[in-house]
Amino acid sequence: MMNTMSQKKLSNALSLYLDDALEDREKSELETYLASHSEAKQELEELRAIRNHLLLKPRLKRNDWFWTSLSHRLERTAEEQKNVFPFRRKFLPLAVPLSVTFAVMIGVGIFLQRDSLFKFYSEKKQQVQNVYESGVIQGKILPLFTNLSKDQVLQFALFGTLPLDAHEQTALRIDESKNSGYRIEIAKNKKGSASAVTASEFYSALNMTPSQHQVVDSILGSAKEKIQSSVLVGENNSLAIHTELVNFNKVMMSNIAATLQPGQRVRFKKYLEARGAPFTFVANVAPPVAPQKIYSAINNVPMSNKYLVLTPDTICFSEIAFNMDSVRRNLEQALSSLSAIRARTNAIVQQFGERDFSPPSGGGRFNIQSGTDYFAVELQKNLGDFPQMPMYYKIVPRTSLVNGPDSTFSINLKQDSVMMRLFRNGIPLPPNALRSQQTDKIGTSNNQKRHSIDLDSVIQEMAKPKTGERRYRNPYEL
Amino acid sequence: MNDSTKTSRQMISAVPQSGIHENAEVSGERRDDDVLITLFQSGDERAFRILVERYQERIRNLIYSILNRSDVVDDLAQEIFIRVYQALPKFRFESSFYTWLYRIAVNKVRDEMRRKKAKKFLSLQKLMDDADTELTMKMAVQPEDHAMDEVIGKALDSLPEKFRLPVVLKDVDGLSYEEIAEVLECEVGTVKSRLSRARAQLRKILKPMLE
Repeated sequence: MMNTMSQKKLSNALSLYLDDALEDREKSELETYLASHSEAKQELEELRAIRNHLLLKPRLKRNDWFWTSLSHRLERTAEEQKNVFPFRRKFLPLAVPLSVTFAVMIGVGIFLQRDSLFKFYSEKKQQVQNVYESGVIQGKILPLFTNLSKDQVLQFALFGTLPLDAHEQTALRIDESKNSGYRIEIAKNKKGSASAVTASEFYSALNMTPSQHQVVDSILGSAKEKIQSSVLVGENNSLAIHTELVNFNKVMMSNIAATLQPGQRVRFKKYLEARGAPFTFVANVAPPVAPQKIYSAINNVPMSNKYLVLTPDTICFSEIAFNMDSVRRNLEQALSSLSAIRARTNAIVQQFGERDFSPPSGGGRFNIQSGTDYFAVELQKNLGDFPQMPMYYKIVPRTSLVNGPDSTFSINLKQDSVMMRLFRNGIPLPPNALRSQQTDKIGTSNNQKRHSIDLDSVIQEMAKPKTGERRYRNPYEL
Repeated sequence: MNDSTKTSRQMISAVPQSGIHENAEVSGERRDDDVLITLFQSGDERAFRILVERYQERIRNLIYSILNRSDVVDDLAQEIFIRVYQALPKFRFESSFYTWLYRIAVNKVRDEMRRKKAKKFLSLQKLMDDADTELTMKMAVQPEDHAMDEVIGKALDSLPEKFRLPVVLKDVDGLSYEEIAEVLECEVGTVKSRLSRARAQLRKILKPMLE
């Protein structure tokens, strides 16, 4: 039996005693000790009181929504932990160091090869830079058609041709295939392919009144301005053709037809047919459109800045914004060398005509055809970005001026293709990038009859007096 | 058995959720736990809900007893059960489910205590928040008593973590020394020693109230 016990030993014993964890002998000894030591007994009672308070410590009220909240969190956690890696998540600890190692190896490789890589990159960058610098229209821009006469503009409206030289030996031609698309051709004039017309002869043939002369003159004058800004020549032997040019002659023809009386329209159709014009229109007996409407239509047509740019090295669509006043100033300075500009254009034609095109890969929005004395660009009809020019009469292709070979070598180009530019600079393309195809040219004999109209029956129908109705008579008709 | 021991045993029995006892009911519960876990591991997720509903209140009260805060109880309890849900497929039945669950819960609460401690040092804002927290606790906590409970709670709160945990597990939750050792991952002797020292400290703190 112990007389005294250290505080630490007593505390341990009392704690175990409270928990009924003492051996019987230890318990008996402690109880004897407690009987003779009131302070120890007091301590035991205090410890017991504390423990009883802890045992009876009030509980939280049951949370009946615990599972509901937990199940929502479990769903959210499952969503968050969905595997976003291309391997099982358990491999993540392995994947991270492997990725880091791989990245470090690449980094070291780049560092070791930095000189050659830098050289390679610089060379390629320079090549691309050179191509871009030489691949766009450069220097002073001049309009190719500087001084078109009224007759020449009318010629363009009726036949889609614009002479490129004083002797009219080379011409720019606009044509349209019903299915294939539009065609812009620069070629030597084919003898007899299109009749030369004059405005006075045209007015006379259609019996136009002075007021009609005035309206048609306005149409031709406005068209002259637009044509002037539609075909541009750069100092680097580049040629920029406004993509809307392919549509513009038809707009002119439509407006001219709208000016005419019904009987004059029939004559107009016969006039076009007699001269082998490539376009015709669907005639009707509607009265002439008011001149104010026609003036408004020809002057308020918005035009985009989209041009087809042709250089010896590059063919691409490009947005060209220029100040026409500045171009005109250039023109005044260059008038003395106008013949030189046209000679340059002829050189472009020759360069393109003689170039042995090899076709890069991929379908594109335009094709190029070339022969010994011509080259042509065919634009797909789905260019889709022509402004909505008002056309009172639907102008449709009737015949084609182009009478080239039955089939030509064709190049399909992607718009503004860098690959094309690199190719032109002699950088080899991968072997499978080259593909050749044979295409039927627009304007072969197969297309000759595609939009023919029986004009005689139309005239007879119009001339026939109808029951209960006065025959319409054109007051200007002789 | 002496009277004092009898009293404590009766008290334990009087607290319905206060512990895991070596009796037929508890043994049956343990067997049920094993069955439920087996069902869960074989793909029956409903078994997990039964386990949660069986232990959610014990875990909530364990957290409340250790932290003496009610505002974080549900959040922490949910995190504990989420961890259980993720780890349960790998449960190997090497210990009883509830000691395993308690170990997860205690570790989570320890993390919270350390985080809180760090925040205490870092945040001056806490000084202003304390008043609000106290008010929130008074509104949210449901203890039916009162001054003594509050004092005991604060006294427990003042104990170091290593002393507080054995006291709560033993005197509030009624775990045995061995179970506490398993939960706290220490020796049984360590549990006894810490429990003794914890009780002595509590007595020292609460002495004025006990006289």
